[in-house]
Amino acid sequence: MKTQIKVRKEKFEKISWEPISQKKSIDLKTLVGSGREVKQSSYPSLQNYYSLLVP
Amino acid sequence: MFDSQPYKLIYVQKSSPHKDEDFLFAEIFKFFTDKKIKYILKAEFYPENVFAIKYYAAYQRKLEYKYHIKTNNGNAHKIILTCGSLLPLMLKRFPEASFAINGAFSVDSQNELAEKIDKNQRYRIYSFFIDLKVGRKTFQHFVFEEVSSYLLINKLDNTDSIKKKDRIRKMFLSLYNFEADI
Repeated sequence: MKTQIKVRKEKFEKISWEPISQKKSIDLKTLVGSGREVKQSSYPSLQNYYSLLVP
Repeated sequence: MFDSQPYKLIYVQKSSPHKDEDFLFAEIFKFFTDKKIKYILKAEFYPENVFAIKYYAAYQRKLEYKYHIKTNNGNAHKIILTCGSLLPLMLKRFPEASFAINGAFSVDSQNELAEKIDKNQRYRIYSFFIDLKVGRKTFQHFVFEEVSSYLLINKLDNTDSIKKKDRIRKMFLSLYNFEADI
C-alpha cells in the first residue's frame, strides 16, 4: 500500500513550479516535438478491469 | 479511480467563434458535480476534422486562467470521466472526427507561480485516463509531452495518420499564441 501511494504521488501529484513571468519568455513553437505514437496501452491488465469508453 | 459513473452531460448549444477565437464552431455541454458546481465542457471544431476538448468551472469563466485553476473539490476523476464520456457521444454525430486534449499548466495566482509546461500534472492524469479508457481500434494515439498534449487520430478518416498528425500539429501551432494561450 505504501508503495502504491508513493507511485501515485510521484506520477500524479508532483508539480514543478516556476515564476509565472518565465511563461512569457517561452516560445513553444521551438519546444514542441514531432509527437510520439503510443501503440499499446501501458495498462493492459487494468483495461480488463475498467471498461473502455471507445473501443 | 475511473470506475465510477460520469456526471450527466447536458447539451447546451452549438456556438460560433468570437473574434479572437480560431475554431469553426463549438458544441457546448454542461454538467453539475455532486456539490452542484456547474461545469462547461466545450468541443471546439477545427480544420482537419479535429475537436479540441476543454472544460472549466462556470463560476470561474471570467478569470484569465480559467483552464489553469484547481478547484480542489476532490472529484477530478469524475470530472475527467465526464469529459471522456463526450467522446462516444461526439463520435455518433462525427464518426470520422479526431480529438486533441491539452493539459493546461496549473497557476497559483496568489504566489505568482505557474507549473512547468512539459508533462504537467493534468497531462499525466489525462494521458493515464486516455491510455486506460480509449482503445486502439478507433484511434491512433499520439503524445506531445513537451507541450502536454494528447492527440487521437480517427482511423475511419482513411488518411495517412502520421501525415494527418503533422498537419494537425502545424495547424494548431499556426493558430495558437502558445506563449500566452496554451
